[in-house]
Amino acid sequence: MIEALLEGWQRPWWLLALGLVPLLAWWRSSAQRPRVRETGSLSLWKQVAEAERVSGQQSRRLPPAWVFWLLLGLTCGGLGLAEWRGRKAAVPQERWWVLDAGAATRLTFVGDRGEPGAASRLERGLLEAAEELGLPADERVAGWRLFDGRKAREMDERGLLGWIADLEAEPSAVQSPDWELWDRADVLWIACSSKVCPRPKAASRWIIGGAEVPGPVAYSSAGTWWFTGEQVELRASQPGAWQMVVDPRLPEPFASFAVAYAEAYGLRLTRSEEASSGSAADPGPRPLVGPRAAAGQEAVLRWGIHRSSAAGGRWDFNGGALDWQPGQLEENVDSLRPVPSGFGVGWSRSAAGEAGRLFASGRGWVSVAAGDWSGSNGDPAVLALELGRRLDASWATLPESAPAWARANQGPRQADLNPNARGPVGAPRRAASRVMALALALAAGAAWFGASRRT
Amino acid sequence: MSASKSSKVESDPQRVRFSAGWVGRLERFAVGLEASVRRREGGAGAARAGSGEEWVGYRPYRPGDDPRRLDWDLMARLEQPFVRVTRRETSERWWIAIDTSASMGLGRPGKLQASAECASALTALGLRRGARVELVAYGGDRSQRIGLGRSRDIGRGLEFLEGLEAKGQGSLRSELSRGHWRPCGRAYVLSDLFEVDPALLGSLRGAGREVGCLRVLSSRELTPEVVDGGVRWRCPETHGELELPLDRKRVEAYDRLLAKELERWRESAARHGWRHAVASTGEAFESILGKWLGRGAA
Repeated sequence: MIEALLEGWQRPWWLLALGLVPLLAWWRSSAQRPRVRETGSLSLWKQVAEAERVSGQQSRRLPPAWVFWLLLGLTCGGLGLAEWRGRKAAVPQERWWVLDAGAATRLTFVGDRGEPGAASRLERGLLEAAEELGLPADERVAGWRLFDGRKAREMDERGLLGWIADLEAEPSAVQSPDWELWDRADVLWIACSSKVCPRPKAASRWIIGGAEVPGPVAYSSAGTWWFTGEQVELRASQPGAWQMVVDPRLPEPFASFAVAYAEAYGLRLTRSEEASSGSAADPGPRPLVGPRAAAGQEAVLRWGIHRSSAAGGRWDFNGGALDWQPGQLEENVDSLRPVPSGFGVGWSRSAAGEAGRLFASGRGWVSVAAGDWSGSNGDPAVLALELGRRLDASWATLPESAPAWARANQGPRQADLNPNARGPVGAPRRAASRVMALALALAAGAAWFGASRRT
Repeated sequence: MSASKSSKVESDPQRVRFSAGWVGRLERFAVGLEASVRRREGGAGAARAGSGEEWVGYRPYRPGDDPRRLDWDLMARLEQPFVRVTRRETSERWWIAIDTSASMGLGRPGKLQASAECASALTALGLRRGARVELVAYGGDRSQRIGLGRSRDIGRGLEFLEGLEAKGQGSLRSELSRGHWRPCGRAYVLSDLFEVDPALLGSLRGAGREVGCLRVLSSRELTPEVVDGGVRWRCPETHGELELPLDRKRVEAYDRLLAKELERWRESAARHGWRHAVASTGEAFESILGKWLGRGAA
């Protein structure tokens, strides 16, 4: 029965604050209890009381009016904080927010006057939409779900703020959700720009907007591609702005090549075994791969070593130009080992009848098989050229970079909300705000009046 | 003749305590009062009293005085009647009655304390003038009394007063009915005088007797204040109670009734020729008696 009484309230535990009202009333009543005083002039006081009785005046012991106003204000405050939402809203209603979590949402929101904020477009857009619809940002709302084109998310006790934190920790989505599949009345579409989010037929739509955000678009060995707000231009990179981390056990000729490469492109060369997986004794059988390797804020390239499956570690290879091309090399090897997906493009070559992965690379990393490469022959210049191209193509995508279309002006904020977008939860919040404002006014006025009352 | 209130000893309001040096204070008061009276009533020159008694001074004529004692020369000069005072008159008896009922234990300091201080001052004054003073305390189970005849008896008088306690119900009527006041030339009553008819004191007048009543009230009885939440009044003597919200309107009604009561007493006193004064427990006895006795005292 208690649950049935409480289900209509958004925050039923605030109703406990109403218990203060009778407590205060009882305390006030206690304070109102007459004080006992002795007097020799009781006969005179009796005459005063008798005169009142004769004149028909009532001797009331009601509390002063300001006490009633104060109690009323406190009652309104408790009810406002508890926030009645109605029995219908007690049953969780599903609401879906479908979000385009692309690169544009990760950039800082810049206002129309060019003033940058502290929040990203993603954070600002979600919080503004929630505020517009009267939804809380820091608490769980039953039935509220989010889909960002990759996975659906339930809401936990962190509320909307939890979603924002999780989304910002993940990579941005590559493509927008399939909007047509989500064109329903109970769905809200959220995107940075209307260019990537068409006008819905049944769903609601919230366009975050935002002015252009100048910044790096891409990094390369030629320099930094920079979006100025109007166009993309190539800017020279500052020497030493980025670094290349190489494993100190990198065999020759790769070690010398790494030095020359870093010098050519103004990279800071750092030697660290962190460039490789495994331990100092055994670099590990697998190249250092994965997003973590490329997530170093400063390292545009990590060059490590790995233990190939071939024993001995002495490699012979022909340094011919065509032999170094991915795919082409595989055509020339005597036996091929399939390159597992996720390991980037690699070469496989048999040496002395064994197969091994000699070279592998991915976004932000390259790895060569550990061992003795001194017996190799071929044109060093061609080797250098091919290695250079491979390294050029392996530079990491640094977090600060974003595509030019993401940095461009996203347009004005737009809200195309249908009645279902607000739901019954939105309305009581405004009413609750009014009740709270009334409660505060009553309580403040009563307290001031009571304090200034002359006794 | 003012005195500092700091000399009043804060103690149990139902008891009496005199501060150190109290006798000296009484002496100073008596000397000061007499000097004031002499200045007001003219110098005392030697003259035949007319009755073979030693003449010691003058005082204003009071209704009931023997017309043969009028000094016609002084009246012709001053156009006001004065009577001659003889040594025999100053050897009179004083009767000082102090109420020790429970209602006298109210106030801070208590009404009993204020009354006892005034009684001690009257006693000192009388003894200094050669009178025999009888101190009477009525209230409680029975009345108490002590007779004092010499100046050095003031200590016994103070001891007597310090032994008093405000309790029980007091009846001035029953005390007066005992008649101990009859041979006295002066009769003073110190009480809060609630539930007393002023006509009762009229019976004390006669035979040239000077009568005075001093009404001592606590500050709450004189000027009650508005109290939030009301008050339950209780009489310590009858144990009657009355609960009454104490707002401004009711306080004003009480003030009017008290003023009316005090005016009734003043009119009765003026009509019958006896002294009447109202004092608060916060006042020093010098101030109280200075006003009460300063006019026409001798």
